[in-house]
Amino acid sequence: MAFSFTADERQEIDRIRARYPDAMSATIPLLHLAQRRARWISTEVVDEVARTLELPRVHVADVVSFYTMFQRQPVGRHLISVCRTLSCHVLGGREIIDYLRQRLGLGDAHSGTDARGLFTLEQVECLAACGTAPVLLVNGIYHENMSLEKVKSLLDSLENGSAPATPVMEEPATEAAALEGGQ
Amino acid sequence: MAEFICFPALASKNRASLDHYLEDGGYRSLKTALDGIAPADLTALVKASGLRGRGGAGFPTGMKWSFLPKQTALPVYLVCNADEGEPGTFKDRDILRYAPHQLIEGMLLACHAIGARTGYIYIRGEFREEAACVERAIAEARGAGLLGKDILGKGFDADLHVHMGAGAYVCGEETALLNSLEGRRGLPRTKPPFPAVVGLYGCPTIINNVETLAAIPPIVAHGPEWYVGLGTPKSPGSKLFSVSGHVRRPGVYECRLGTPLMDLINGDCGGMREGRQLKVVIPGGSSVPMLTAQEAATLTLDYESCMEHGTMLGSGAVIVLDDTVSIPHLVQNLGHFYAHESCGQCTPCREGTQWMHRILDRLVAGQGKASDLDLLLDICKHVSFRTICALGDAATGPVKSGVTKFRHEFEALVR
Repeated sequence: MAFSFTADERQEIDRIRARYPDAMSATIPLLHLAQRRARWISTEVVDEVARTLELPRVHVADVVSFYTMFQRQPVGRHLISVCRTLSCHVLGGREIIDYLRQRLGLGDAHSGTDARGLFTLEQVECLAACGTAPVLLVNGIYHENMSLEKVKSLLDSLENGSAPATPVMEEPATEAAALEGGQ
Repeated sequence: MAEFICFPALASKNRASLDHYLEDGGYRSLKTALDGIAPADLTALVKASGLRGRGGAGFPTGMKWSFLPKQTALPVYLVCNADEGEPGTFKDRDILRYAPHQLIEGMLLACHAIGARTGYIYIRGEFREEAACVERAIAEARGAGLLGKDILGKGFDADLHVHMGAGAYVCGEETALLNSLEGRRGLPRTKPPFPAVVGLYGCPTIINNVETLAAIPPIVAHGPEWYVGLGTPKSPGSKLFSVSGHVRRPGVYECRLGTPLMDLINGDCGGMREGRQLKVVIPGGSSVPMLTAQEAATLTLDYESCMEHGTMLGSGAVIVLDDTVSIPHLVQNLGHFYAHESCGQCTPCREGTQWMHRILDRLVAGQGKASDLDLLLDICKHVSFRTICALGDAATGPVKSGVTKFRHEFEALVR
């Protein structure tokens, strides 16, 4: 499916590019911007980012392949990223991962999407929130001090829509908007 | 007991706004510096304070600054390393959320000292809310004439920008971070040249951790002697500690350097969980050698005591684990981490971390051999200090200390 940046996104891109003396520095910010809407980085997204920054597409593809936050396959409606590193692991993170694998019917796989395309589980390394372990992200939003019970009810509410679907968090488009949001 | 001395906003957690920061005396150090501390004198002041890099390496900050070329036609850049990712570490997150103006003031002071007019704050990609806090503070500061052109009417120009990472532990290494900021894969660069000479876009660049930069305003406000007096003769100042694991009250605590580790664990953190005994402490982030409970009993939180105990203060990430933990499982967990995070550039690290990971997996699965224990130690020998960056060496920290200090637990798996 074709992907191209919208007019609003192009304005945001102009602001991003103004921060750097070199267009290449905007590669990761533009990939984030694209993924915010597209939810994963398809070859069409790579093409659009390369075209926009006038960079070789192999450069953009290379960058995408290096960073774990760039999804290289479509993800389900809710992306659940569970920390698997030490402090989370010993405080219940392992049980949460096992529960999610089972609930999503992933079999032996440690990550993947359920048959309905509702949830994608990924195991991630340390999220730098070890004091509130175990920790997971739902569509990029931190959920801390989790427990098996909390995870069950979180998934239940996401599944039956009784809780608002956790939005993909919008970053403030401008610093002025950020200021407004803070007052 | 811990007390918030240099980072008071981390105690209240609700004084992040510009108004609060100004009420608490914020930006006075910047005014003092712009009024009458010459850049070279500010560098000398930071040197005299004994401040060391709080990201993990512990390199003296003032000395790092003094490595910049005395004369250059190129722009000088300041980069704040907010790519917090060393397992166990979560202190910078609190500074970004609760004290963003203290970081901005620290960066402006550093810009003044090193002659930088542009600073980038490289924040790990997952910290979106934290980045929004910093963006908000930057907008407030700009609106108040504290950032941009002619700051405080003193003819000083400096601007700061947030740059988000995208998930790669290795980008916390300062030259990998520069490559990432330039829009490339985060591969560490060979050194020399050091970033102070050839850094961002080939220009002289200083990279400092969030906590390091945010410690500068109180140092300027109270003077270097005051800061030195907070710590020990060899480890001046105070430091933030991220405590996690099996304690009753995990969290971020500020301690004077030289504080006994057990005071932090049993005092502020409330001791171990009910009915459990301390088994092992990793005092400085997952990369540093672990300490047995007996070793931990005599450790004080400073650079020299850590060295005497054969470990490191690192990022101040204290992972405290009780007697429910199996050391082979612990080492396996971290073995997976390093194998996953190796950037693959250097053969000893790329292959060594994978081998160690596979051997640890088979040991824990009960399919190991008695010879695997020495094989692990042998691999460590061939990874340590044979790579461009410290990640390979970091990967050996938990393996060497785990296999050596808890060998009986590994042997029990191969009987």
